[in-house]
Order: sequence, then structure tokens, then C-alpha cells
Amino acid sequence: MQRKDYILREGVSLTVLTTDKFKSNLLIVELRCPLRQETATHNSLLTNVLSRCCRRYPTLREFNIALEELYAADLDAYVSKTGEVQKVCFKLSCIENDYTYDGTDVLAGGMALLGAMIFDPLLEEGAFPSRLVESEKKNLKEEIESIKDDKSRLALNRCVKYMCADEAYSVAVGGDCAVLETINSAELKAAYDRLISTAPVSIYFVGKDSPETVRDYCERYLPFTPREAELFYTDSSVKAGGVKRITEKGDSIQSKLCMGFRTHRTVKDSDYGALLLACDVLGSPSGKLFVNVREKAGLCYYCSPLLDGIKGLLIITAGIDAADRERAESAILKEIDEIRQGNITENELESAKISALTAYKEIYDSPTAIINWYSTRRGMGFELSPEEMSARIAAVSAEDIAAVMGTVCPDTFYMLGGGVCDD
Amino acid sequence: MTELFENTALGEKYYKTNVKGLDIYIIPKKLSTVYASVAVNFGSSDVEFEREGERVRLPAGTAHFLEHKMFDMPDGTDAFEQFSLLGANANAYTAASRTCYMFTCTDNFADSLALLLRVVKEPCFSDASVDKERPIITQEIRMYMDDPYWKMHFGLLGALYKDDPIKDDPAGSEETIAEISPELLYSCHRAFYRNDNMALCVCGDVEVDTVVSVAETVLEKTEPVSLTRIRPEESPMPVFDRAEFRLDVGTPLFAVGIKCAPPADGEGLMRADAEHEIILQAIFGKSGSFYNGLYEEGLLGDRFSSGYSSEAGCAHIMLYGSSDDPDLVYRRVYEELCRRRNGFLDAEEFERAKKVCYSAALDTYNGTEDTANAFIGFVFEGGDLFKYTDYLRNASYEDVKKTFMESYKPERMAFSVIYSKEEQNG
Repeated sequence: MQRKDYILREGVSLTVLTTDKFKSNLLIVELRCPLRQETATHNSLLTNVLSRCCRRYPTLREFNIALEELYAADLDAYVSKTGEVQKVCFKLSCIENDYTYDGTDVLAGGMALLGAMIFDPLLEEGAFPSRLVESEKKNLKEEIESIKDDKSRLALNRCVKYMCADEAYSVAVGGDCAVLETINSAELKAAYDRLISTAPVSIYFVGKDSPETVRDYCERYLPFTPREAELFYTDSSVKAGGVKRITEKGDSIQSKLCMGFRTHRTVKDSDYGALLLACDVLGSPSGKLFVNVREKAGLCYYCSPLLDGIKGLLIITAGIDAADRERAESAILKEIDEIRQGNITENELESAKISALTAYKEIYDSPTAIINWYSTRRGMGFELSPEEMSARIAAVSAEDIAAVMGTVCPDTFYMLGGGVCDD
Repeated sequence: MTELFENTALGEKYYKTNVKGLDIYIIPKKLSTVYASVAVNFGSSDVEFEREGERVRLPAGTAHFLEHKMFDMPDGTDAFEQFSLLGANANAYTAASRTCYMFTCTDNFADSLALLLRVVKEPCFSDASVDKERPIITQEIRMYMDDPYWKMHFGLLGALYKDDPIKDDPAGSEETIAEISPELLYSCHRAFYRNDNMALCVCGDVEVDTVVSVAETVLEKTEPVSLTRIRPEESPMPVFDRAEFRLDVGTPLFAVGIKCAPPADGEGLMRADAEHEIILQAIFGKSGSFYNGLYEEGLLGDRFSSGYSSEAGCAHIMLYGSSDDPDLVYRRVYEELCRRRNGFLDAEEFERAKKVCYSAALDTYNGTEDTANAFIGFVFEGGDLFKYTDYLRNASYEDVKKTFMESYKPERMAFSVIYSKEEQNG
């Protein structure tokens, strides 16, 4: 895989990763904004409105027909969260021209549509048509409320809400229903203008075409103006102030436990590798949580750690019976303590390392994973290849893992109570 | 003997060979990740069969319980731990028609494959280990019971099928798993985990010789067992046309099902798969008049999808989505199906749908896991993934129309809906 970087304009970069491993191409345009309550919902709604139609294809149906004629090119707009940064993303995924059966230039057509989606929206009297905005507000509201459909995700969200109550991190990246209510089409257009003209832009491409071809397409279809190449900071230094224990009554059979910790470590830190391995020792398919909390104690079916290497959080989640909460918490804390004490077997260390190294190799098998890797690190202002990270992992010792786990602080233990919960 | 099969238009090929009765398929692919999966032709729908003249009925969830316990190795170790040491990521799942054991790895492929084959070959159960598994599986069952999509899906299957086990949770229930014993698991292993009742599929940058030599070393000959699977007779009509639940969901969710006659053989399956995908894409796809009409009206949002499923002798079409007024959507689906019986599709709709389905099929070749899983989906049915794109491209308008007229019968529709607890009916 060959990599070529361009600065198209100040604040607008392009990274082309050339490979012939895949039958499709992937291009992602990322606009970065600080994650804020005042703007998050606007950005989220914008992605709904922009991906629905454009001036040239003013209805969803016409837009979709144009895409399907390009062998079902997938064009999408969405928001995603990395730490306290909201990324507004525009994605084009289309089959490689070699595989069409009628000679269509899918990439050229797809780039033109991507450009139309971002730069040439359907407008009426200088604003988005209000009928369109109102209809997408309804769709976004449904999307936001659908979090209730997945109780594990809901519990995780609630846990973060309590844990990071006064931090930007707790702002819902997909938007907030109360803010959504207030947005009108003129206001949304102003948010769009601000976003398109000021947010730093990173474009990534993974596919077979040459870097020059991709650069030419970007110059032609993505006319971003120069802007400040700003980096937005995520605060990973917040200290835990003793354990907060929270229970909320949920409407489910199983209870969802989320134990939140502060790690004070990000992917930028030199001992992040040790933290990553600590999580693997806990949460791998043969990890301490699986062996002890699931297999020996029979407390749950799943029990796994989630590590946010940008914000510096570790959240362990498990689906349990409400009555088992105390037992589950102490069983999980016991395993964390085992690691702190340095009770890590050679096998555990070895398999954690090999699992991390395998994961880094696998990145190159997924266009999305490759782009995520570079995007996350660029967004924090540094470069580190999967190979460099692998070298760091290889050098980690059991003592390093114990030491880093020793600095991880419990913060918020949350449970979304189910079935037989008496609260 | 090793045979080579190629699809030159896709630039893809695979090898087929057999070691001690086990069919082995190797799909070379120049990616870092190798994926290997052993599929056992024993799934959650195989609850009743006749073996050497004796009629056997299994408690629901037996195949899934067995899947969980196969990772206990005879030397007392847990196979997951050994996979981890090799850097391989192992997993397993149980579907209606099969149980699959798989791993991905980037190194130590041969050792990981040997371990995978030992996992399925060497059962080791005890009263204690079976007892220990019950609370874990109970939590798994409860986890799914909280999933509204799961509830809706099985609600619909319950409306479509009267007695067929396809309508039941593959994990069984807390009551049925209480009946499972080590003896029962051993007898199922003997009956189904035979080389001639399994298939191995490997996709990645590996040599055929490596796979064959590992299989020859690990596998032992297994004795054929004469076994007849028994499935309840099913009427072509649904049992009832509506299942309704109330759960704590945001917007009501719905699933519309249409019961179809299952295809007769592998070729029929590939043809049916291709033709149904084209029909569903043309009529209910994102560029179609149906979806867009309802979207403009505010009756449908982004969450709307469709699919055809044919597994374990049961075939049906499903449409999923969310809507403030699911009943109205159901009526519209009914009307759309009636309307399409006169006129069906125009030529443009038909050709465009073929392009979309072709592109989706091509996408399965981008990763080793997707390729192998799609491949395995056809193996026991006698189909061949590598021919599937040809079925899509060569599907004729007349054949597709015929399939539509035969399968999309409004009187075979059923409906499953999850209302939000806060709201009243529709």
C-alpha cells in the first residue's frame, strides 16, 4: 500500500492510499468541529438534509436513482465522535471501474455526486426548503430516540452522561431533541455556511486509482477554500472524585452494568500500549473477565472493556441480573486488582501482545480501518503508523501493564436496572 | 483430488478437495487476514430425527448448547485461550441449519487450523461443565429478549410458521436447556459432527497443501450414520397474520413477512436468491416509488430494508422498518404487491435493480470473512457462491416476473409490530 499526502489548500489535506486489494474504492471527506451542545445538533441535521437531495437531484428518489445507475455507489453523510471532536463526514464508496459490465466511469460519476452533495444543496430563497428541513428533523428525532431500542448502548450513554456531566464529551454527537425542536431552515443554512467555509478538512482515499487522479478529482469536485488548519483538543486530564454509584430503572429483563474509569492516557502517550494490553488481559476471549466473571462465577454472558484512547476512559460493560450487581462489581474489580498486583501470566501477556499485533496487521484489510487509524492520529496532531505502534507493543512488560493499571481510577458505576430490580 | 473453480470476470477462484470425508474449500486471497470456518450441518432447526430406526426429539437449544461446550478441550484447557496464544480470534455461532466454528488470524495459520479441527473433533462434557453453562446461556437468552428487533423477528416467524422449529430462539429457553445432559450432547456429537456432515472453508493468503496436510494430520475417519431429519408439515399459509408486542422503543418497529415455497435444490436456491434480491430491490429499494412515496409522506425514514431468506427448508421474504403508523405501512405494502401483479416492473427499474444487486454481491469479495461466510451459506444446499453473480446478471425479466407472481402472494403475508409502551395503537 502506497501513501501520498497533499495539502490542497491551507486547512485542506488529502491522503491517498493506493492498493489493488479491494474491488471497491472508498473516499471520506472529514470536517472537524469541536463537540458542542450549541452546534452538534445542527451538524447532525445537516448530514440528514445534505444526503437527501441536491440542486441537480431535488428529490431523494432522483438522487438514489443517480447513485444506483453508478452500480449502487454508496454516498452518505454522517457525524461521528472522536473524543471531544465532532466529525462531519461525507463518504463515497463505489465499485472499481474494472468490474462494471458496461464501461461506466463510476469513480468520476461518484465524485461529481459527492461534490454536488457537499457544495450544491437544494436551496429556496437562500435557505434549505423548510419542508425538507422539517421532514429531516422528524427523521433525526426518530434516530435520536432509537437509542432506547438498544439497552446496552443506552446504558453506556447514560453512564457517560453522568461521568462526564460537565465535559464536552457528554454532548450527544447525533444531536439533542430539545435543540432540534428550535432549528429553522435559515439557521441551518447559516450553520452550513460556517461549517463548509471554516472547518478543517481531511480527505482520505483508499483504492486502485493513482494519487494524481484522485487529487485532480478533488480539485475539480471539492472546491474547499483555504481555512485555518486548527486542531481541537480533548481534555483527558479530568480527575475522578471518588466512585459515584448510580442506578436507573430501565425497561428490560437483563440489567446493564457500566463501570467507568479514568485512565488519563491517550493514544499519544508512550505507555498507551501497556494500557491497551491491560484491556486485552481483561477482555480478550480468554481474558480474566471471561474466565472468572463469566465462566467461573457464571454472572453474565458478556463482560467486556471499552477503551477510549482519546478521552482517556475505560468502561467495562456486562449484562447481569440486577440482584447480582454487588457480586459482579466486586468480581470485576478483583480482576483489575489482579493486574495492578502484577498477577499476569506469561500466557496472558503473550496472547495480549499477539492479539494487538494481529489487530494492527488486520487494519490493512479494511479501507475503513485504515482511514480511521490515520484520521484519529492526525486529528490529535501526530503521526504514528500501525507498524510503529506494533514496535511499542512488543516492548511492553508485565510490570508496565501493572503500573499503568495502578493509575486507572474508578469514577462512575452505573446500572440500567432490569427485570427484578427493586429501585 | 483437488479441483479448481474460477470466475474470471470477478478475478476469483477456489479449490475444492476432500480429506477423510470432509469437503474442503480454499479461496485464495491476498489479504493479511486468513479466515477459516468449519460448518457442521446441524442447526437449531434439527430437533427431530430418526437415527438407525430410532426416533429422537431434542430439547430446543441443543445445537447451540453443544456449540458453547465444544470449546472445552479434553486436556482441561479452554480452546479460546489456546487460540489467543496463537494470535487467532475464534468464535462460533448456531443458525437454523448449521453450527459454525471459525477463527481469523494473520500468523500461525496451520496451528490455528489444527486447533479448530480438534475443537470440533474432540468433545469433552461433564455434569459439572454442563451445569456451569446454564446460567451463562440464560443470560444470553435474556440479552436477546431485550432486543426489540429480535422479538419482532421471532414474532413474525411465529406468525408464519406453525410448528417448524425455525420460529424458536436458536438458544432455546430456560426450560428447554434445563433438559440438556452430557449424554445428550455426546450423542448429538456422534450423530452430526462427522466428516461427511461438515465442510471446511478457508479464505486468505494460504497454500492448498498447508490446509490439506493439517487436515490429514488432525482428522480421523468417522463412520457414516444413517439419519433422517424430520420436519413438521407446514401449510403454505401463515398461522395468523399479526403479532403485536409492547416494548420500550423509540418509534414503533415492524416486520412484514411473506411465506414462500422453499427452492428444491442448490441451483434453485441460487436462482431464487438472485431473483428475489432483484424483485425486492426494484419494488422496495431506496430508488423505488414505494419507499420514496412513503418517505415523502413521513411514513418511513432511513430504517427500511428487505431480504429473502431460505434456510433449513423454510423460505420467506421480510421487510423491516420503523414508522409512526406501521399498520398503514402494512396496508401500503399489501396494495403495492397487488398493484405490481399488473405491470410488474418497467425495463429501467429491472436493469437498475440488477446493477445494485450485482454491486452488493461484488462487495462480499472484499474481505476474507465475508467471502467465506457467503460461500458457506451455499455449501450444504449444493449451491456455489462463485456462480451467483452470473445468476444475477443473466436473470431474465420473464423468469423474475414468474417468481414474483408465484411468491409475492398478498394472502401469504403476516405482520409483526413492536409498539412503543408510551403510545396507543398506531
